[in-house]
Amino acid sequence: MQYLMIFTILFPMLAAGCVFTKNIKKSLPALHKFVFAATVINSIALLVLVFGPQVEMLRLFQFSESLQAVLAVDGLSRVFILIISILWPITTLYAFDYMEHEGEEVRFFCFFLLSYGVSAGIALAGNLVTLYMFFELLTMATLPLVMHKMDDKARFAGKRYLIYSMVGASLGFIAIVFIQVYGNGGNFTLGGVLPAGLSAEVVQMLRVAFTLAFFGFGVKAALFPMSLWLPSASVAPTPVTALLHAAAVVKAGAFACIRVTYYSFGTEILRGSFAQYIPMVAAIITIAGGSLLALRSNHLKRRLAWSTVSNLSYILFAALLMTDLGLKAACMHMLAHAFIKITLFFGVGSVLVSAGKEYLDEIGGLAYRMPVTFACFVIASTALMGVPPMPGFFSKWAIGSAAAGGGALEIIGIGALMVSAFLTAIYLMSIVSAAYFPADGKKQVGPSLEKPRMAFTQVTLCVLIVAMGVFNQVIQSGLDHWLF
Amino acid sequence: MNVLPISVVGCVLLPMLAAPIAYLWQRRNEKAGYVLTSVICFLALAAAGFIYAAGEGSFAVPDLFLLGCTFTAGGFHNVFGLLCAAMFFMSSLANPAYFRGESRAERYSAFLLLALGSTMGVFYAGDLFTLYICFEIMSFASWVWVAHNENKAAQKAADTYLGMAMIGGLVMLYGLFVLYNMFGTLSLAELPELAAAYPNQKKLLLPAICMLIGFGTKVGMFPLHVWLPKAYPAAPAPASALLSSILTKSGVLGILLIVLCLMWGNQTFMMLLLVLGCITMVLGAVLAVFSMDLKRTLACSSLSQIGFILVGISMFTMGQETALAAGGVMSHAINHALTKLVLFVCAGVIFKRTHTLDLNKLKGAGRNCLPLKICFLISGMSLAGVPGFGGYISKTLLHESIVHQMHLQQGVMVDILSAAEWAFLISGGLTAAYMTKLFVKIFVQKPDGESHLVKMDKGSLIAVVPTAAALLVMGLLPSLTYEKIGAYAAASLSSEPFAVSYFIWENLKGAVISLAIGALVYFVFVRHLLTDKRSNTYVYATNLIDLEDDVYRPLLNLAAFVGAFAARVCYSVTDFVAGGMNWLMHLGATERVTPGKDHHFGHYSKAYVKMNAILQTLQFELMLFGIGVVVTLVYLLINL
Repeated sequence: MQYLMIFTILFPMLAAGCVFTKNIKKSLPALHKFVFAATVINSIALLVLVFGPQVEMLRLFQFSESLQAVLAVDGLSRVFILIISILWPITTLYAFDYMEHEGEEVRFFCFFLLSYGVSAGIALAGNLVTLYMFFELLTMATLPLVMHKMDDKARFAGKRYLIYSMVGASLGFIAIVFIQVYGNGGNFTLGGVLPAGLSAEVVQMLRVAFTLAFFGFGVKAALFPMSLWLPSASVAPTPVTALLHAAAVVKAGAFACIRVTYYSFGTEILRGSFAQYIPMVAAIITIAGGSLLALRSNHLKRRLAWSTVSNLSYILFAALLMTDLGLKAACMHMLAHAFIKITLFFGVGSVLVSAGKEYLDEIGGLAYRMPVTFACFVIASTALMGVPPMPGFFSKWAIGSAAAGGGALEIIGIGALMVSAFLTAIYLMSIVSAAYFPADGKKQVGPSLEKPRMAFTQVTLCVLIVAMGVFNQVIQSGLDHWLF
Repeated sequence: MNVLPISVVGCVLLPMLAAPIAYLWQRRNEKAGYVLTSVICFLALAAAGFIYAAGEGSFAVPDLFLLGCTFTAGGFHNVFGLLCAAMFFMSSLANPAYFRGESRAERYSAFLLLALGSTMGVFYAGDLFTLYICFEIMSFASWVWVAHNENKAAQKAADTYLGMAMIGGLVMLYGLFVLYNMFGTLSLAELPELAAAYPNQKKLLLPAICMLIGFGTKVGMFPLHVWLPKAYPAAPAPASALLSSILTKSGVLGILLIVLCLMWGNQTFMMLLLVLGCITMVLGAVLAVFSMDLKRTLACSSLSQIGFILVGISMFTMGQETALAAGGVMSHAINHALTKLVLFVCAGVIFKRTHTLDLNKLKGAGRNCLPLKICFLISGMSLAGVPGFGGYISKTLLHESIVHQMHLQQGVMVDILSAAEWAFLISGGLTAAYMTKLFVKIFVQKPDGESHLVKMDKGSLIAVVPTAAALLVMGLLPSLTYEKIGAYAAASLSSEPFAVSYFIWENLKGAVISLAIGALVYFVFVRHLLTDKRSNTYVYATNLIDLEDDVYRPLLNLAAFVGAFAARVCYSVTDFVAGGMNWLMHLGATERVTPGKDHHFGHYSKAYVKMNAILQTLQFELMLFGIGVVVTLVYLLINL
């Protein structure tokens, strides 16, 4: 069972290499079959790790007594694995139709598989060093995907992504050093690895290190002031923006932030200090600023990207509450947002590919030619807005009720959350209402523009979202069981 | 086995589950869809009737959603529940005629059922969390009603409605967070005791006001009323009937719950409700007098009536001797629901025939339709509070409660209450005036040219006639109807039953003053100042200020602009820093560095020698190194 962990990381990487073999490279159907089979197999393996028997920790290799690469499965890994293992095959299916429009499929699917392996590595990383390693690999594996189009916009986005990620990584590195020195490179445990009884100066220093590291890992979660890479990365093909920039990469950022907060430094020494408040202020600014900018973006994908920025900070805000309730709320929103946002991105992606429209003012009345896409978009919108009983409502409720116990800053945070929820309603509903009730009253007529595989994935995701809302109790108890 | 839970859950869940079925069914077979919708509404009505008879009970559905859902039945929950189901059933009967020839009737039917389920959920909710969930679903479902016509006006009204509902819902949610954090429970059964025992009563005001904003948006309380006069006219008539008659009551129930759970006897909250109630009451009535549009008049009238109810609730908040206020609130809520159902369905019948809502074009439109005329007259009289009709009873109760409280209070409160009393009487007068305006215009005056013959269809007739008859019966036999209901509800509103003799001079006086004011306003103001003599049409009174278009929207836009601008500037700082770093790194660097050809190291181009050569060469670096060594040596010497 232990070696299954290595399998889930290495198998997609090997598969990514095999894409270049002659037989697969030449024919498109063969490529599709191969990629789909590889992702499904890997997902099954990952799900076995989640739901199967408890897996023991596995030491990969050892640089020194305290510096070692370790893989393990714990509660938080399970949450992240659940996200990637369900969403990756679905996105693959979606990408088949979509990438016909973009071209260069062999290269695309190679890196697509590669990043699956790396994401699995992030989920399974058992200590900060291992996490950091895969975190860096993720930047490298996803860069070609962001720059897929290789035109000026794409190159610019890629460069920005790289610079921001590098800055983040260099800040994140600080955490490793301090955890190595003071925590002896311990493996992730809830409550942190630092020993008790550190002197006041050391604690103060650790707090500074934590703050820097939080912002460092927060770059991938688009935390203020390092958010700009995410909207510009929306030039990437939609499967990439949808999966990587709404689910995997950004969730990896939030995941790493949670790891650093709860599992490395531990909330004990951080709670109530500047190390909690400074990142929290940044998160609050991101929550409000992200939704405001989403409201004022005419470009559909950028609008959703800004919405992602805002929603990721919901997760960070919840995580920064530094309580058990906060951790649970963060995980809930991580799950809910991943599924919802990917559906929304698929929606605008379908509009882009099938109808060639990418701006809000172009899609008037389009819903009548793409009924399935927009029906799914409506469901996902209501879910993100937090209309009960959708999953977005429960996660927001969890965040809000976790934060209501805090001080003034937490209360302001809830206020920002409310403002953002209101803006969410506006920026999503204006898309819906433009599509269904065009301003000029002209409904677009003509043959349906739906593509079967793309529509199928969206419907599947919608079913999952609704199920997540209605059977929210299952998720709750699952999280309770896994995390604590 | 207890049957009560099943019937409560049934009347909440059954309509929601039936909604998609009704949608699909109606697409295939229009008639069957209508029948199904009505049957489901009837089943809900039957269930509500059963609950009413069965009395009290509460139960939980644990493991549903986050905190588990609880439902409670008894007292005013049952009254509202029964009223709700009845209104939905009645209004569903008018659907086939109103939506004849429309392409999207099935969507309306589906969302009608969804709203029915969620509204029943609001009324039977046993904790604020369940209530909130149902409340939000209800808002969303009714948003679709408002947008139903898909024209510009409907779209704008729907946007405003959704926006306001969202803001209200979120503020309310915030209040719930605070409340949940204070007490760890949102159960309606436990909150009153916990709140009464809470040491810092002032802290309770925050969640209470947050929730008041949430519910106040739904009832159209000033200054959150802006959506209402736009949404009602834009919605299809059966939907306006429901919006006005029953969805507002969900807000009324909410405000009642705030009072019961948190604010029992709180003076501040009472004053807030009283002031806002009075403003809503008068403002709505004045707007209605000025309005030139049939449904807009009715909508503004709804505002005004809600104001009456709010004043009643504020009397109820006094916390002592509240029986009259409780009875008044309940009976006026019922009376208003019945009245508005009749009026809006009538308006729908007229609109279906004439395709206009402009009063001047509707001149004499209903002259030939006797049933329509009678029903409209009865509900108009009832709304105006003419003795003998339902409205008189409920208004008398409300009026009595003010007078009664006036006797109990001293000092400034007496003056405030007597001001409220006069506002009450004047609004009552204005009600009479605008209802006369409508009635005379549509049913009495002779049409100018060719007349549209308005005909009543069977469905609307079945919907309207029993309701109007009920108003009449209730008005004539108050002791058998309103008082029974009032007592039934009052038991759960923690107050004693009451008995008022309605038809004595003391109580008739209020109605007489009101009607006199109404007559004065109608004959002097409406007939003279608002009417253009030559063409005998109403002139349009200019809208002085539209709160939404002139204040709220610009403010929101400005806030969004400033916020986005600030955010964009902040985010760009990072890029700016990155760009600056980039510039700094490449500062002074040559484009290309080739080994052997580097002018920094050994090979000097003439240009460099001519220029400040010493800065560019190895010598300079050696010199710096030398200085460094010297400084170090000096330092060592001094320290040693």
